Amino acid sequence: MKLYYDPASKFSIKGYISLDTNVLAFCARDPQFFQEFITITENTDIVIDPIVRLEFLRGAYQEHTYNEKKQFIEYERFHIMEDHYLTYQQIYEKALFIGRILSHYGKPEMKLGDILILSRLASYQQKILFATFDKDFSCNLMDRSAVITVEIVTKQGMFSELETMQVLSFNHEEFLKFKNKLPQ
Amino acid sequence: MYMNKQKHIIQNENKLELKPMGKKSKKEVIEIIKKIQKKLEKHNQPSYQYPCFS
Repeated sequence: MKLYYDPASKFSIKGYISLDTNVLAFCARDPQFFQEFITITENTDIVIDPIVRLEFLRGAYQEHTYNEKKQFIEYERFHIMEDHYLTYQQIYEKALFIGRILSHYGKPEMKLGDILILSRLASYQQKILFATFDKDFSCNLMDRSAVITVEIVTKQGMFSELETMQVLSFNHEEFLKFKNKLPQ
Repeated sequence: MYMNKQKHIIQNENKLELKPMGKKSKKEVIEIIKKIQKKLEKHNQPSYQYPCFS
């Protein structure tokens, strides 16, 4: 896999970065992608949402790669985010509003896992970047910091496909604006 | 211990705590990725697919 991006975006990718399950899965399946990704994010602390960890390992049983994936996430630059019921109280509260906002504006089918991931980003006051391939996260509640195009060569080695990875962050002001507009 | 943990979280509300998931180096992790790649090829799964969660 080859990554194409504006070299200047490396400077906007700093602070904390949380990874979506699909980004973590790409990292675990391709050494070149992993190496390039950790170079792009060298100015960040990489954080993993417990929901993402669960999603990531859940798929491993089917692939017979559970033990390897469990070892993979023991990388020294990966940090697990707080997994405590008090944190979840805040996350659930935000999730209710985010779910309502997305449904109200035409996305009632947003996956519960994704709403919880979004709610965690909303629960911290500091800016946390979020890297994802999932286009469902492109909404007014998120600001876009960078776009990275990934070239994926198919198994036969003849054809390639392009996937877009976005680096987003939660916009607290927009969230409040949309929250206040919700019907009572 | 549990109460201390609660107190700590309440005091640090909205602040991100960094707890490393392990101590594996980049080199070690790359070796693990290669093992995953091999297994995926063995089970005839394209390496670019990623799991969906609903």
